[in-house]
Amino acid sequence: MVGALPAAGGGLAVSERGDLGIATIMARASSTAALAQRVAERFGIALIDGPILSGAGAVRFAGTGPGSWLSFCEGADPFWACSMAVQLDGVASVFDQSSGYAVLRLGGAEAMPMLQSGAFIDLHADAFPVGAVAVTVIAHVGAILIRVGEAQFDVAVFRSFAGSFWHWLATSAAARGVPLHRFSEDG
Amino acid sequence: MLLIDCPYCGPRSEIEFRCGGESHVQRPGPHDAASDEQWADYLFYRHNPKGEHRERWLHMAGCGQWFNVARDTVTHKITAIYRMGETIDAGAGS
Repeated sequence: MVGALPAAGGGLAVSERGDLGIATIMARASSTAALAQRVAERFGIALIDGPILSGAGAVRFAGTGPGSWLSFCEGADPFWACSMAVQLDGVASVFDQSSGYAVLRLGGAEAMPMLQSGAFIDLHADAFPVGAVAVTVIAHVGAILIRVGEAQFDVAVFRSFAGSFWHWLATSAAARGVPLHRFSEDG
Repeated sequence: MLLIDCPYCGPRSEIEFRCGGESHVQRPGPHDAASDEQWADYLFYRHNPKGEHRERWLHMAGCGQWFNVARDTVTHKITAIYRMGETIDAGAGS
C-alpha cells in the first residue's frame, strides 16, 4: 500500500498510485474567482491559482498553469470526473485524465536527489516545500511534480510515457547505486 | 542556456520554452485598407536589433503560458519579463 511506503530511509521506494481519479480543471474565461468560490462551497478547499497543491483530504488540486489545475481523488469511482464536471458546471471545464496520466509516488531519502538529477529545478525544501507543484520535463518526458512530504513526491506523466519514465528512473537509480524498491498496491 | 523566469512557474531552463519571435507586432487593418507594404512589414520584416529585443516566449513544457521577455541579443541578459498585452518603456528593464 502507498501508505506503507517508507518516507525516509535507504533507497528509493516507488509505487503506482493506481486508485486515483484524475481530471484537468480549467477555469472558464474570467471565472477563476467564481471557480474558487464553488470549490470552497463544494469541497471546503481554498483553491490557490498558483503552482501549489490545494486541499488536504481525498480531493486535491495541483496548480499547473494560470487558471488550470490537475485534480486528484483517492479511491475515485469511474464516474468521478463526470460528477466533478457537474459540481463545477458553468465555471470550469473538466476533462477526465484518469487513464491519461500515470502517477508514481517516490519515497525515501534518495527520492529528492534522484528527481533532482532529472529535473532542472531547485528541489531543496526552501525552494520546493511540501505542497509545491512543478510542471516540467524529466528526460524529455513532461512531468508534473508534487512534493507531498519531506521525502515523498508524486510524479504524474502521460501514461504512454510511463515506460520511458520508468526506464530513466531505473537507469538513474542504478547509475547512482541506489537500491530501488518497487511496491505494488496489492502488496 | 538561458534561465527564464516564468511569471507562473518561476526560473526554468530554456529547454522548457519556445521563442515566439518579436513582440508587439501589430496586425494591420482593416483588412481591405492595408497596403501590400503594410502586410509585408507585418508578415516578414522584423527589427533584429543589436541590443535590447522584445520577444514572446511560451512555457511549452510547463504552464503553457505566453509572456513577453526583454532580452539583450548581444549578452543574452534578460532584463524584463512582462505579461501579454502589457508594454514597457525602452530600456525599462535594464
